Amino acid sequence: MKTDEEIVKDILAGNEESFSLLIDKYYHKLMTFCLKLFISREDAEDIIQEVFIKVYKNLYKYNSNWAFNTWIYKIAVNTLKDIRKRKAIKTTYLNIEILSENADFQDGCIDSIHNKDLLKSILASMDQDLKTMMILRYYQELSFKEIGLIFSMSAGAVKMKIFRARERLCKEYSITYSSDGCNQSSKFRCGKQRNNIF
Amino acid sequence: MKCIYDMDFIFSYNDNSLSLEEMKKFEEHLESCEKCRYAMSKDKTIIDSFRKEESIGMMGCSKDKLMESIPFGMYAKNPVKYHMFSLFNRGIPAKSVLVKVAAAVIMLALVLNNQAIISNITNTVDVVLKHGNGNITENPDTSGVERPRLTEGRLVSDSIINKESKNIMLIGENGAGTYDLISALSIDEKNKHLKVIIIPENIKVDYSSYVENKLSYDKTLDASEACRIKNAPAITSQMSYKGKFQSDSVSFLSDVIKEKFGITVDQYIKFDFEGLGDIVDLLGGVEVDIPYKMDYDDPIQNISIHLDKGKQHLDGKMAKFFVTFRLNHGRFGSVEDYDSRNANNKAIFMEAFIKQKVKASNMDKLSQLFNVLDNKMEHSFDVKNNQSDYIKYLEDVNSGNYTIDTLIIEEG
Repeated sequence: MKTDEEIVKDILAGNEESFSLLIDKYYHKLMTFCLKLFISREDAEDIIQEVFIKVYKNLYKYNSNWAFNTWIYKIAVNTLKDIRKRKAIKTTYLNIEILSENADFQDGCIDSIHNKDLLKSILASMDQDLKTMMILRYYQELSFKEIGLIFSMSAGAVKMKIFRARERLCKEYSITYSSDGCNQSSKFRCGKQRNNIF
Repeated sequence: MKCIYDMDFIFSYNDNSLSLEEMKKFEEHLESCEKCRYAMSKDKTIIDSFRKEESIGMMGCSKDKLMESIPFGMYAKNPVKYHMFSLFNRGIPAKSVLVKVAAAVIMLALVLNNQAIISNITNTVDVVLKHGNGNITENPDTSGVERPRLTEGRLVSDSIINKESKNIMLIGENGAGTYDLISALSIDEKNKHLKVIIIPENIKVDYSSYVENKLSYDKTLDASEACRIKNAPAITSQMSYKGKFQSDSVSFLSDVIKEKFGITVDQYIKFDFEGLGDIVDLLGGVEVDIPYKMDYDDPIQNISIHLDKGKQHLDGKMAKFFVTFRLNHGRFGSVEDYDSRNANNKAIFMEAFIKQKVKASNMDKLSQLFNVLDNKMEHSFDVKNNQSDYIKYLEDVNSGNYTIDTLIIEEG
């Protein structure tokens, strides 16, 4: 199987039919990326089309010092921002399957449908950039540094944003549970001191 | 019992970025701490919702529609033009147009004058640190189990050393726990060649997310100081890193050097500069061509050292001053200037030292040298059992069979 870099070289050398290999490789990832951002399938298809057109037109500018998937996600993130400025994107709830394997910690208090809806509404209300970062980190498995390249910020700043977002999500999730009378809102202690190394 | 773990620790646990030891301790703690179990469970549920695959169905007609929308023809019509553009962008990323034009002119000049320039290269080779050449090589554990990479990007060059060379890493450590000197002595027995490679301590390393994840969020690697290779010990101290050498920080550094520069470290010597001074004194000093006048006055410590430009005989104290001299008075302006000149001093010294001191008349001092090694330096040599092998190397170098050059890695 050809690497992304080999495919790009091929296309630049005039073998443009190789572009379909990039589509095969990235269409699914980009579609999932859009769906996880609660973008409707219809809008997602338009967005992906625009992303691939940009990828094609700018392929000669691609610098192989970047991982190709970082580059394509940067284009996708920027395209999404552009489109959001131009028009409202229809959002939709997904059929998110929340894991049931953690149910043992929930003592059966909350049924899984309620649990799913709860999480869906929390995720839907998240800040777009933060949600994008979380998807890139935990679904696309990009490093903090790669996400930093996409958002033009340092890896440290990305890590901090993601950790704080997780903390907020956990808190919201727990408080909602608590108000439903099913579990205690957890006040997580932060007692471990870490030494400054730099 | 009061819980000592914070949310960041729990996130790191769910991200699988704790050391085995931390993980084990935390799992023991989980058994008795309901709050942590609950927090861990909530976070895992949230993270897993991001990780979950979505059912998006087939893309059949979407792909045809997509392919139709791409304005094909651009690259098929001008493959040479766009290939050149691409090569250019790869070599000179993210620079202004003016810089690119200047670089193009230099590249053209290089192509036209290739032979003349090559023939002018003598002893010293500068390698520009690019994050793009060569191939990624995995970093195998000594146990044969593949380890996560410590760095991102690719090898600077896969031809810094001959692959069959034996490489000794020399590390100079200062009192503050950072490295002042990082270099490798590469012994190519087959081609009878010695190469001294100086890695300036301020070179930045692109650490991987594996390393990033080992650090707590407020000790991130984007701080300009943290990424410098000289700070590797501080990073190791947070990682519980285990490797081929007894010293964790040396193992970490040697693995970083292997990934970044393709140099497999076989042995190492770590010293503070007192130890270096002792060796220079033992061998009767060393003559060095001082490249520029150096003055250092520190009235607080009552130190006043001055070296004139030109050939000077240095004793241990002066040698130590020469290799650690920094232009901290801003005399040469920029920081880059100061770093490259400092690296150059180290290269000049090491080459002079090997050329002058590895000779027959010093062979009788070898046992004393090994004593200094054993007493004042940390190293990986089995001095007692392998002394005769090292003596053979030194005799070969001494007999003039070996050529020697120095190479300074530069950050580009």
